Amino acid sequence: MIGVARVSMRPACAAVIAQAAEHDRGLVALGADGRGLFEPLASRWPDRYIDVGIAESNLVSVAAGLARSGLRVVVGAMAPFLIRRAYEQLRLDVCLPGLPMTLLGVGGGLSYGALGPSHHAVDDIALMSALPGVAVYCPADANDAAGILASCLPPRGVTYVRLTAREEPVVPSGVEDGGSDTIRLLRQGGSVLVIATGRAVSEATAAADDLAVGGVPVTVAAASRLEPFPGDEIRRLCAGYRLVVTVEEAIAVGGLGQRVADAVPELGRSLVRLHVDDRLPPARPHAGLLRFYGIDGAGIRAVVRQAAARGTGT
Amino acid sequence: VKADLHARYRVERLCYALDRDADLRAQLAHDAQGLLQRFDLDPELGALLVNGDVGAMHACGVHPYLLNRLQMHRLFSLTPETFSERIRSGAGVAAVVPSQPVQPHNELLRRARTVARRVIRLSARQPVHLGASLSCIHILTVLYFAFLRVRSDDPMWPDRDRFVLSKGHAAAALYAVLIERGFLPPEVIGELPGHPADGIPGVEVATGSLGHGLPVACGLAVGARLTGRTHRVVALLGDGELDEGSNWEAALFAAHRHLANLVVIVDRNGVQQEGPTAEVLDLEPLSAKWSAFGWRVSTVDGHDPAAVLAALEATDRSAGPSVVLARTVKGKGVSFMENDPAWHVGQLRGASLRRALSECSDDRQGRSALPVAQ
Repeated sequence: MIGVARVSMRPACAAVIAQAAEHDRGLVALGADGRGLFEPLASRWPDRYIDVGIAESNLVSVAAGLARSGLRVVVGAMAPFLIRRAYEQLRLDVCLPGLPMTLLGVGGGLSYGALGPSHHAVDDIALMSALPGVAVYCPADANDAAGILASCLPPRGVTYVRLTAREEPVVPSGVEDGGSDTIRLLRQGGSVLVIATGRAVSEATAAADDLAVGGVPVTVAAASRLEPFPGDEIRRLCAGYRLVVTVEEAIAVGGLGQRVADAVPELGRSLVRLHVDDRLPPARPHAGLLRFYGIDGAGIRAVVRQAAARGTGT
Repeated sequence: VKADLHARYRVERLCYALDRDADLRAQLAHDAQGLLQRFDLDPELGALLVNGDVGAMHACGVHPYLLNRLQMHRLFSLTPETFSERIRSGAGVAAVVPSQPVQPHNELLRRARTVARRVIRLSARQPVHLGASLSCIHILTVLYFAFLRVRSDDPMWPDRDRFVLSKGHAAAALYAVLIERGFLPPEVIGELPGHPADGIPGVEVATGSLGHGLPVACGLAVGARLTGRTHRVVALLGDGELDEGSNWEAALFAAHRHLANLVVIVDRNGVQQEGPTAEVLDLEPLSAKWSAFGWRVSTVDGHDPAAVLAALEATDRSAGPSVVLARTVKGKGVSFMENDPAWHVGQLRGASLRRALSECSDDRQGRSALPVAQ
């Protein structure tokens, strides 16, 4: 991964939020003692940024009250606490009435690395997908995150966007670059299809580039929208591949792999799902944790090479 | 358009059926005239209905609740906006100042007894949170008949005071007072959910999970400020509900933001599901806690309408958030229920039903085990 540019999602999103606030005077933002996402908005319109302190339950309910007042609301907080601590508030106060609100979970997945499992949110996608009427996105990099955010501001319904906490690799531009609601094709070739989401996308493209050098081309597709899941599109995409590998920085339940299995049941054993398992993580930075759970470039390469050796892959 | 009782009834019957029956709504889309004929609607009223003229129908006496249901299903091209606009103009009450004329103390007590009897009669049909409902009936009656600026004909009127029943298990009491105040027709009370849900006219916020009402009310209070409105936001909390930590997050927030338009009433009946609050999880010194959090605190007899009203009116002059600690009796007005946790949820039949109704009747006032405040 040496030499790949790394960009943080937060400043990219902060600019989009400020721009949306410029166009919609009824847009307000809330944070819980963390204003990285809202600095440009807050410095221009101090009244339109509300910091509730370290109180995520209150954060979500206050946001609900603001949305019920006719305002469009952007909420940003650390993903593990925004979701797990305020889950009841998200369900009853926000999702059941379907309020216009965009929720930004900073540090989803394993992004907080060595801070430990208290700060990991590998269940954010599953939990947010279990709530009624929520659109769930897992962007691949800062550009993707900014594009997704721009498309869902000002909020019309409930949207959750998982953001990473640190600077992450920039995903190279695609073979076919559709919008964030569609599947993006980033590498093409061979008879193996790797579908990745979020941070795992850059692992998949890096693995594909390594494998191509070794004479084993693979196709890489990025799925940023997980709910509602573009199942039909995935189904069409999978046709003709002998092996499909899904990669995600999330638990198996409610994740990308499960959604692909549901959308294309005939894949059967031709679908290999790489995801986070139940093991307690060691104290390692983000990249080390991706390695630990086998959802990094090495894990992807290993699956593809095994398949090639068995003759089922390429 | 003039409409007699029977013509009006036929319109209401159709509205009611449309609300409940998806097949009928589908039929409306392709054969509206056939449907109107089947329900024997007067041609003039039928034309008003087809045009979505809810204002004129309201002026004829059709209940706004049923008209509002049409809007919920987006029938007759109605939207929340067109509904609000038409129902106000059509009823010819656009210029009416909606604050209630202040009702005399005894009239409020009489109203409260009527509301209590509605709750008790409901408990003959289904289990009801009787204790928690009866303890807050005087408070709700004062709110809806003397304090809140609300319009029963236009529940979503933008300048209304917002009321959040955080102790959602007292839904029966809220529904009963909404019926008394004209928001809901009496017949629907048995069909409404056990906790307040969105879409019921007069219900501001769906509740039921405790510890949500105050935080949402904080958002409504900030929202009023940001949108340049001057309405009040009032939340009624149970005392057992104060066990939930989210209330105290919100209490910090409201004081920090000087939310002067926010009023909390605590229904301090001293009894939660399993027993006295002092035994389950002691809240005292409760007044000192709110004060320490930066709130303006007053304590009143929650069954004395004049005292409750005076306490509420005093909050209008506060520079920050206010809390009214209303001392109440769980199961108030029915001697065998008062202060007994066994009546947290209950159903009444036979002699106990008759006795409860009799103790809350107008000719028995002052003769129940604990006399109503005079």
